[in-house]
Amino acid sequence: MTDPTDDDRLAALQDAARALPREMEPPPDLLARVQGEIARRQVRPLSNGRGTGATPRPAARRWMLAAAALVLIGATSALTLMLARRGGAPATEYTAGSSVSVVPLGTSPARTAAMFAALDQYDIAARELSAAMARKHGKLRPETVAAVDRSLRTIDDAIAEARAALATDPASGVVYELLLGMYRQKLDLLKRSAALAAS
Amino acid sequence: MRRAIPPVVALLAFVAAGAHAQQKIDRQLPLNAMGLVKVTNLLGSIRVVGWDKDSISVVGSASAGAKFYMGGSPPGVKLGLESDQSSAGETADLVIHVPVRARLWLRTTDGDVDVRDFNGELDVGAVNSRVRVKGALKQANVETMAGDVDCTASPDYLRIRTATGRVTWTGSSDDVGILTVSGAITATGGIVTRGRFESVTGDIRFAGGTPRKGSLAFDTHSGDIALSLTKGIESEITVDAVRFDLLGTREMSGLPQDKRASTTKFIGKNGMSGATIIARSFKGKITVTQP
Repeated sequence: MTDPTDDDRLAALQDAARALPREMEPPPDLLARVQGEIARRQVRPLSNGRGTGATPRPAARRWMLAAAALVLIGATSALTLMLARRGGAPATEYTAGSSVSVVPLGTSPARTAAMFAALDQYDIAARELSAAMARKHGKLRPETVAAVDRSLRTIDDAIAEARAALATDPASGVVYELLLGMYRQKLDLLKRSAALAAS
Repeated sequence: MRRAIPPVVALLAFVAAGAHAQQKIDRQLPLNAMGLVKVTNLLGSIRVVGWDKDSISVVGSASAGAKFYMGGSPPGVKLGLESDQSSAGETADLVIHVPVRARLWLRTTDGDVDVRDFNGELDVGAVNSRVRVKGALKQANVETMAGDVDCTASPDYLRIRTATGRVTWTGSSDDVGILTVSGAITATGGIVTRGRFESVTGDIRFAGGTPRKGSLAFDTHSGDIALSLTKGIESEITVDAVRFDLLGTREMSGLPQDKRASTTKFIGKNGMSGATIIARSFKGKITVTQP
């Protein structure tokens, strides 16, 4: 008997993944934890003016950012699952060229609030990375800074547009998922710029 | 009385001075077949060619005063210019021959990168550089900001990320991720098992296929998406956009899932089972064509 090949193992893994439930309830206290995290970050302890005390040290700050990132990942994953749960029977069979009848999606205030809270977390992370990048601008060539800024503006414009659409159409899973993708792009761009400045 | 310098003499003096301002580079070191090569050359071009020898050879030229370094041992070699080229304005144009299955790590800001006949692992980090890659690469990771990327290769694993740079890829792969901010993405000709193509404002064009259990995802905010799928592919296709066309997909049937203020979602099935294809655009048009 021979060992299974990589293809066999991949096929088995994919079959196992397909056997997983398509829906999962998020942890019941997730929304409360997300809101708690937002509230916690809105109240920042004042520095004592000597550069010590309330201001976290870089290592502690990294841990805080890592913790915030974990909350962010958990929140967005759960929200994506929640959005995937929306029901509603399709109205008509579609064939190319025919008109499309559709069924509106359902949503709830709690889901909408959690969705925007998760996006706000991305905003906070992006602002912190942007501030860190601004301090390193001197280490990059002006053309590079201009290229990065131009791309950030492109992403910010798209984010603003999609957020406005989401505000009027909170049930739109695709807008939400595209938004998450754009935030990931923004964080990635900032991270790459920081790496360039550090090299 | 002063005599004027004849033009021919002046020209010869200029050429001689120019030649003196450049220094030649010609170095060789032994290198294992899968050795690591790290190249840092911020300004100036890098051309890499794979060869069937257990050694590395570097030829080229650098501006006068630039300090070229190259050192290491058979498991790994580093080379480049020692100074901060950006502030010193020093450039070097390098032609590097490496073992065909080596591991390459290239860093530049403005110099163009050209990798040919190379079958190993490639990692390129650049800013404004144009990057061209051709070969039977095992895996590749290419990042630029403003530079365009032109890749003809079928690595197992491929990642290309740019900001404004355009990406053109021709090949197949088990695992592909191509992301841009505004650069257009064109991927043609291959079979992709697992692929993710994302742009914020750039158009995305894909011509190819995916195997039975493959998955392809295409996302853009305001760009158009054009998918030309290989004949015979069986897949479940999800299209979510303001406007979409399904052309020539006579066997495709499906159900419109929902319509919102922003987009309309369509899920169709082409064939019995198999691959998953998702295309989403917030403002752009999506076209899916399958013979």
